[in-house]
Amino acid sequence: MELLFSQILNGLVIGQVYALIALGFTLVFGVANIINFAQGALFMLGAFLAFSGIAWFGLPLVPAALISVVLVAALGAVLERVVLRPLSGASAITPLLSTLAISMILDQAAEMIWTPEPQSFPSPLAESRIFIGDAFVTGTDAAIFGFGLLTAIGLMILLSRTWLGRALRATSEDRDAAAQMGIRTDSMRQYSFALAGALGALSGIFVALYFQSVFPQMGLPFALKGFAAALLGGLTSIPGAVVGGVVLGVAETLASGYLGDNYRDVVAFALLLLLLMFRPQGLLGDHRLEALGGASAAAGAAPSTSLLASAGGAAVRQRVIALPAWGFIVLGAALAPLPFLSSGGYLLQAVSYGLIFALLSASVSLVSGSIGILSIGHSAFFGIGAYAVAILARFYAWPAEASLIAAIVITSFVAMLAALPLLRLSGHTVALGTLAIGQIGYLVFLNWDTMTRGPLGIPNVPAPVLVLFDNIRLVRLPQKYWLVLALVSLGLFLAERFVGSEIGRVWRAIREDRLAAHTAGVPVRRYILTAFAVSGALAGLAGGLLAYLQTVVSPESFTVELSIVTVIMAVLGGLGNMTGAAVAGFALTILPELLRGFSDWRLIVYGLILLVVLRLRPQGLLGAR
Amino acid sequence: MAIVTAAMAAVVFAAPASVSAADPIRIGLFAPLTGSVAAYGVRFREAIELKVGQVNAAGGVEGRPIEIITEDDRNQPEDDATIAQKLVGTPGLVLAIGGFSTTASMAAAPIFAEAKIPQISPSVTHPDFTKQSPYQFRQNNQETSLAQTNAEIILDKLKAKTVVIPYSQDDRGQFSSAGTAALIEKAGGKVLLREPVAPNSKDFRPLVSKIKSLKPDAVFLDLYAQEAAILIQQLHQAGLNIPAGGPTPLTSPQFIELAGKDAEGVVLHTIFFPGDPSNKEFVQAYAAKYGRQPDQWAALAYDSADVGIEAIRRVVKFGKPLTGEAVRDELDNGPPYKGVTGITKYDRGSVEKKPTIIIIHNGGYSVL
Repeated sequence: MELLFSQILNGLVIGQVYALIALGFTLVFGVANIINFAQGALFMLGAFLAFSGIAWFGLPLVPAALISVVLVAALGAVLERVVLRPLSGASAITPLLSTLAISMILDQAAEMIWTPEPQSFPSPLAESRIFIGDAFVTGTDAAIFGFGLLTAIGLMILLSRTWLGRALRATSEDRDAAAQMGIRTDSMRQYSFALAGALGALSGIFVALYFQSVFPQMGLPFALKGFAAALLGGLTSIPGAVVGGVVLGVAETLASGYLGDNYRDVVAFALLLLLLMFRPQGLLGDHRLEALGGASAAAGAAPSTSLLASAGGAAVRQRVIALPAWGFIVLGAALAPLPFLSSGGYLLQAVSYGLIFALLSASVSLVSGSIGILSIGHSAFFGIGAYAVAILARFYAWPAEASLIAAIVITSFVAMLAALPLLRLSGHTVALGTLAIGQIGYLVFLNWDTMTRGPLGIPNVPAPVLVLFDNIRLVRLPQKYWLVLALVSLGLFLAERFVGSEIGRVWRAIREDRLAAHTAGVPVRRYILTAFAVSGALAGLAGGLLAYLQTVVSPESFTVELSIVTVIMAVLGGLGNMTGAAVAGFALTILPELLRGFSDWRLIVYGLILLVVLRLRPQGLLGAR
Repeated sequence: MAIVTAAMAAVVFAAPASVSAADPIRIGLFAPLTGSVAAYGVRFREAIELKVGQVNAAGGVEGRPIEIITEDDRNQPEDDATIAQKLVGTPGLVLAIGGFSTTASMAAAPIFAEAKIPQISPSVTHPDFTKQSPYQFRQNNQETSLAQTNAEIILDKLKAKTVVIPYSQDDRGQFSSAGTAALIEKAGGKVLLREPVAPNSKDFRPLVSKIKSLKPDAVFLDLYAQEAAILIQQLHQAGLNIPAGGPTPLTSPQFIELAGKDAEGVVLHTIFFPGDPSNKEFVQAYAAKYGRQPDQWAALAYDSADVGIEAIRRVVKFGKPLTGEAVRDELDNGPPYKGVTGITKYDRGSVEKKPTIIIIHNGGYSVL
């Protein structure tokens, strides 16, 4: 009983931190209708600027924290003005990717400025503590809890009692109507980013105090929890964000306390998916929004659910460049002589990876573009394919044909299952749902020791044996390259056939307006499940090929970072455009290799290239279909 | 487009041909230089650059300078396979140092084996690594022997009958904690809790409450520096001041920096003790160049480079053609080599070095 009490206390404290991150996220989402992936980077910067204030300039904690909050708020406003506002006419998805690129740049810059290593951040409050039986509360906890609550209340007063708050809410309800009433909606967006930056910095400093250390990689894990908390609470509700954070904090602490620390995140994200299944609007979300196309329309967009529609509701179009389906076979044949042109294995290895990612990117583009369910969880499907092949080939000595088909079938089935909780979601909400699926996938790979060997991974995956071709063993790299090339070309051919068929047409109808498609008699759910089945099959094939090429399969290959990279590929190529997805997937896999010469600057250059491309071609390089 | 990119890539990826005797001898280094475990990879790079700088300043290997080709693998296996291909295709490259984690090193291993280039991992402790092929070598002790020292610390130094072992959920932590726990149980001790700590998990309060309710004699922090620092601080905050021990990764000075006075009294073991007089030269040179004390990772990388360069030197001196295969044979059959982490004498790619048990005292280490 006493243990339960102290665990709940522990959960309340960490939950308050999640709530603060979720608040910043909710604000931006409500006002600007953008999932701000840079929130995690702002959170990290807040902690590091305060750290520098203390360590470099000898400031006391409070002034250092205040300066940091002001600086990060200003940075938030600047980012909105410089990077996001020019994209306001583009489709809703483009700004999201820009925030991803920004966080990539900021995270890497932080590693260069402050070194990648964790550094000490002493908390003056850590010494003072009160014991209640075996449970205890430290001064840091009390400060987090007190300030967290004060911030949430202050924010609510700001939003409900001041002119600024009213204008922010009006913008959030209906941007165009607010603009007609004379509200400067652009400034409101900027304010929301500044406020979000301030909240992010504040929560970053709290986390630094709580752990008594800062580290450049702290942004992403906490941002993920912040998203989960916001989604639990209902995305656009301020009290919802607080409730969501606390519920998440307590739930995962209990999971950690009674099941084991490795179950903490599994429980957190499973809870989120369960809730989304039964209460898609979140704990305190508003159900009325659903009629307008889900929470994604909260910003007052026209009732289209399309990711390709701009904030004003109009679909933005540009010329589409796409290969016919047979073009992929021709292209595959054209690339076949490559092993005769190059002597070393480096080029072949890099191109093989490029091909696998081209297929994976097409798989992501198929659900994200054609059906309009932005998937940030494909790493899970990719991983299932890889593990299926690794396990069947190594422990059961299955030939390549059988193990690859098994990988395709299993992944396709799991993808359909994973789509079930997503059916009632739309717009940006569904993207966060897929994020949870990706995380659960990674955690299953990591924790299911008896099947996946957990963190040890599965090394020594044997070379593929083709039973239909006289049991030939593809040991050498050129042979593996040809296998990859043949199957990737075939996979892309089939993907393009699907997208170009009647089924693809119905998918796009559902993407453009789910309600209208439903009214027209289209069995929407069945078509969404079909899309996931096809996409899962492609991802499973890509994963299976990875297992053969790499010979080691381990959980760290299937993290959320991979999902983020693949969704960038799909969007950059042009959503729903298989040719674009394949080209972008290939190019973005090769690009970091070409950028190796930049060494530390590599990821920053990569992020900048992304930003420029998004600015110039917001519909993707080859155009969205 | 794809063809154009591929053609472009072909130009960039193509390696220059022809080698002559005056050309530098190349050594590849691949390790995480960015991302969450970058701190370890950066130690590798620093130590190896120090060693190679010293060798080149002293005239290189029989007049030929050594050149290091450094690649960042972000600890991602897919990067490792590609980097390994790049390294084996580099002319004049006869040795590769690297792979921080087991999975990263294993992803590269088959490629080095096929190309007959020896690979020395400074850090990998998993027994399977050196079983990959005769071309895999390690500098660190195997996990099985480390577990014995872990158990010795818990039973003899911490004098604990009951212990809790939180461990990092990765290849090292899983193997190490399982081995240690088995030895404790065998010796009649009791492991009350052996729990994985997920990667990126930093909030240990639930674990602390649980440990407190179990009332163990001691805790063994089978974690990396940052996690261990947070955990020990939170344990002390909870009023739980039980004896604590830790595995080799905690010998990183980072642990003391982060945990501050909470690190006092923690018992560790290491195969590199900076206070050892015979290591003075290395410690001073390293501190002069990088402004910090070397840790065990730097020391292991330093020895990896030294053992490798000595093998190369013998090949050249004996007038044999300088190939990866010849360097491998020299590594395998070379005389015992005394480095900063103890004596390297390869037995099927593995080493057995003598650990020193140390205790953290007044913000430094002393031998226990």
